Amino acid sequence: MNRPLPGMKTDSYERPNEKWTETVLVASEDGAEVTTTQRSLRNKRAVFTLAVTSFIVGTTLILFNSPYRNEFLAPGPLCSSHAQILAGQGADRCAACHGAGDKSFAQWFSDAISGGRSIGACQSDLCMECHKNSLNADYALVAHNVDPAVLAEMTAEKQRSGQFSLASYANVPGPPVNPLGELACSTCHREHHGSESLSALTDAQCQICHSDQIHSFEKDHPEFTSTPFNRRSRIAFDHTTHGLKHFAQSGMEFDCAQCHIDDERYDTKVLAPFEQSCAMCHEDEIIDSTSRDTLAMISLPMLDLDAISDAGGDIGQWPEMATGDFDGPLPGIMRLLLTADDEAAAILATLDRNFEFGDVDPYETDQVLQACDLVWSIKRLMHELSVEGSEAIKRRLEIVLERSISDDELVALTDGLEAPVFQEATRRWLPELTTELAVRTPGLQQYSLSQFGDGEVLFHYRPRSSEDTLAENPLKELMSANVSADQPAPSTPDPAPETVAPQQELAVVSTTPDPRDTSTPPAASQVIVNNERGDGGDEGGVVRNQTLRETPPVEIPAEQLLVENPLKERVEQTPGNTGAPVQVPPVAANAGQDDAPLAIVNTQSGSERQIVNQSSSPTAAEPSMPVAGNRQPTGEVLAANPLKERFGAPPVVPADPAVNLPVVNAPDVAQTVEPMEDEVAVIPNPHMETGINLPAVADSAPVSVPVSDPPGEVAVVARGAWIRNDLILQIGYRPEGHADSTLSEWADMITSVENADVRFETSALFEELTRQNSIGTCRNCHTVDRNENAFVVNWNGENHTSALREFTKFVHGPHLIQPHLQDCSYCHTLDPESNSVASFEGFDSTVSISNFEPIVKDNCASCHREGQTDSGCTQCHNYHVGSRRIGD
Amino acid sequence: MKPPRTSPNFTFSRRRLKYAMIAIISVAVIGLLVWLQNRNLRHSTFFTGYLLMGSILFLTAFNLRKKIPVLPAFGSATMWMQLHIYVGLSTFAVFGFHIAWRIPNGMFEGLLAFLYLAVALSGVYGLYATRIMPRRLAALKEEVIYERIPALQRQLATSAKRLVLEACESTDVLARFYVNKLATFFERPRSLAYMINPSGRRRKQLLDEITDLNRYLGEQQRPVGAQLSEMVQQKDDLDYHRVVQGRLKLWLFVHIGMTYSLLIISIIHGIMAHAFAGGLR
Repeated sequence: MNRPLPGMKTDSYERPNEKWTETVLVASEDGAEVTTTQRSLRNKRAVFTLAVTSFIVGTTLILFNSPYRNEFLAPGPLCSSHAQILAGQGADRCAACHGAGDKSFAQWFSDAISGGRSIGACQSDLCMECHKNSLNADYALVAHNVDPAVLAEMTAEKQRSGQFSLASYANVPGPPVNPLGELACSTCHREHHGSESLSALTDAQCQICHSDQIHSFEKDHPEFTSTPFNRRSRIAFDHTTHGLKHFAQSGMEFDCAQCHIDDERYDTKVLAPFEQSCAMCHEDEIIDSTSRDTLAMISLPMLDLDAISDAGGDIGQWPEMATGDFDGPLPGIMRLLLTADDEAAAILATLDRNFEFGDVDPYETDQVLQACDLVWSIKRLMHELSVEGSEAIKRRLEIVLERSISDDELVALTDGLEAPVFQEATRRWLPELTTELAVRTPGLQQYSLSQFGDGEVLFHYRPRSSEDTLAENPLKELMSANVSADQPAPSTPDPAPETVAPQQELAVVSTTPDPRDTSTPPAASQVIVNNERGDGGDEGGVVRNQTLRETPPVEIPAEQLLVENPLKERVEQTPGNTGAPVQVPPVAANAGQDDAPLAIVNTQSGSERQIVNQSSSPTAAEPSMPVAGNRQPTGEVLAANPLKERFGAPPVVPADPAVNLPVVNAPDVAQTVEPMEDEVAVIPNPHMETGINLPAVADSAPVSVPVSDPPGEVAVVARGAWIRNDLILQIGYRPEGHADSTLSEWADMITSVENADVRFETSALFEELTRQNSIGTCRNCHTVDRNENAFVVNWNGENHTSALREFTKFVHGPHLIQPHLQDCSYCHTLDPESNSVASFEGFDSTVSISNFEPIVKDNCASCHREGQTDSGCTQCHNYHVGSRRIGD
Repeated sequence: MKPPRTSPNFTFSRRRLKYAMIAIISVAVIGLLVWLQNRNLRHSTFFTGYLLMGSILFLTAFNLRKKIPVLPAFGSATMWMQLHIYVGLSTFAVFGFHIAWRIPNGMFEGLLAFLYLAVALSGVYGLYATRIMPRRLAALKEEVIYERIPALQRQLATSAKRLVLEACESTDVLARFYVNKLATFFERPRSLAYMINPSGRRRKQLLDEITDLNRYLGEQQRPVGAQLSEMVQQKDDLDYHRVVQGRLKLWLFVHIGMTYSLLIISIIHGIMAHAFAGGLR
């Protein structure tokens, strides 16, 4: 350009930072120049900047406070497992995982300047709101979810064995932890990356702490030494013996798949159910055991009455069949229940857990008197059970176990065992129990049970306390009115306590007070007892008010009573009694007319059985068990008592198919009726599908089954039921076979008690249920593991689908696709020399003797190697252990 | 007075090399720290976030330094410019570390990333433009103030039209040619294609046509044709000035216009990052 155009400046200078510039415009019509000003470029830029900034920031703030806030703020989509959190509506969706999610911008700002400690719950706590069921809540945030102390111990053990080493946090900046050693969930689980794996962890990240640099599985990973498991199997099973001996001898194929079956997802192998795997060979053995053994709850011991008399003791009335030398066991359940009684607990605490009454030295006065006290505790237990039934069991268990017993648990434990059962037993074995306890125990409270009808009076044993006063206890009031046997006793209570029906007549009897019973006032040798009985009232199984004169239930000549009952002298001295026959008041006559208990009764030969209504039997005339008083010579009783031999050497009663009466078949065999004296009562289980069609049977009414041939021995009559055995004076539970729920409930209950194996209250029952060849032979197969201070019975085998996650995982499914791996022995090589039996004996699950050789690492490394199948740490190892599987 | 030991070009090259090396090493160190943090299951995003925030603040301070030229204690504007360039380039790596080399798929984070990229990429373009465009402009004959270009274009169009009208008394060849070919060229802005790629193709085409037109013009009109040719060149130069100077000036609209938005949104993002951070009490 040679010459400048008009108005074109050659000088490029223009003043900077001017908002307005002078511009020459040329009019198109006449060519006249017009000068005007306009915004400078800098000024336009400033306006643009302000506009853009205002728009962006303003829009952002508006969106922060709009319904679309969550969508706007979310830094990305969540993984599929969490996607539903953001998929809904509402402003609190972010708040599900972020404490700041539902807070304002001002609160965010204050949170930022306060170091992030001012807003809501921390994110890890919010994570646990949903994952508390799948993680061990106590250790959810610590390394591997394991108690740090346990983890340190495990680490030390591993390091000692040279399996791996851990880096020192002092040398390596590890993941951020708080002073408690906890890590935030977000340390590993980084969200808002959509479909990316939320749990992906690299080998390098594992090796932050695990400083052993395992660069590749095939080269650096140590050989396996204790695989597949480093603990014994939960079901005691010796593969070597079974495979090489039992199966081989019987010509059967020892097929792994017979017992180890695929789970639903083909991920792992689980044990086949008992019926498929073990029953073929072992069911008969279990049935034999459960038919032979009984889990006793009540068992009256044999007592040496002469020794007791010589020692100055007093046990009151005791069944004649249970007299002789001291003998008889103290069953574990009874011991457990007795320890709820302070007096019994004090005695039992000094006795060996294997104590039997045969251990009592009849020449040691102290031992004899201690046995007497124990007998009275047993009587109190019987009385309490007669009155309250399972509620008494519940209360006593709660006292001993120091925890509550739920209704479901109680039902599982008692399984239909209710008060009428004990009432009937008391009526038969200890007909004077109530009278005796009323005399002996001032703390026996008399009260009315409204559910039994007006005026019905039962006695309830209440432990004594210093707060007991005469005014509170009508019995004591009456007792104090009859301060001695020499003083005349009133023929009627005056004044009658509220709980005693006005029409009730009371007999005054006396007893010889226990010389060592300082709790019983010496003057209170006379006591008013409820002399009632139920003899066919509407309500079976309860004590009915009835005067002595109206219907004497059991009339015993006064002379006979005097001979047998030391109380008679007192009775004769009581004003108002003129030598009339004394009525023995049964505690609980349960022979109601309408709903009287039925009995499956055998004839003497046991060949005929029939379901009968016990009310058809002459209850009123039915004599009680022969009574042995303190003065009764025991030699005769012993001679006539078949129990003596039984207590000395319990005979093993073989299962007699002829008399084997499974409950389910009961209706088929019950045809005719022959009531018997000595019988075994089977208490039907209302919670079990028995198949017995007994519509007239009350829930708790006992079904009596008499003993079969040979006379005097208890035959196998039923399983899965409570049985009252009048021969050995025992109430116990006979399991129904494998997986009996009641038996397993007792086992679970006792093993869950802390230090159950050493506590004097529980050790007997613990031993009874967890020893080898225990009842049902449960322990022969189901191991018991010591867990912290308590125990756990392994009812199930290694069910990996529901088991807690361990450090090592293995999924069978994809491996078994390979043809050569379908042969189990490719990986699991049986060691023919091994014997794992010893590892199942104790309670230490870590004592493991495997029947298999360790897995050979090269077998795995043939596929899992660099360039082939993934061989990263997390391929076989879990980070979270002790947690429930959540679908990994 | 001692002569300079090195030439200015050599000094500039050394300085650029030095700054480039420092930037590369810094980025490498930052990358190493990020890798270590991620490897140790620590959140490197806070580290890179604060680094990025600090860098943006520093880069923004360059504008402040330009507005306060009387503060030599903070270094010369040239040094600030160099630091601005190399720190700005380094932030690309820091930004990549911060977003873990993923494309942000949240709306707010997407907005933030867009702002950053707009500012950073416009800066890179500005660096390119300020290095290349002046040379191109220097190749032209005249220097023109950007703001005066519209007036000059209007003035040139008026002159061309007047010239043609004065010459069309004897023949209408020039008038037809002007109406058909030159009126649009002088009076209307150039096409978008020219704005994107300012080439001299149309200028050459018009000049060739004017040359071809000479055979149809008389002796008196041929000088008019020559003047029109010169005016076509002037108009094309003005158009070229407008495009090139526009590029030199308009990138700053993006670079500066987005900077303050970026700064404010980044601060909000940082506050949110702390408020929403997962962790332990």
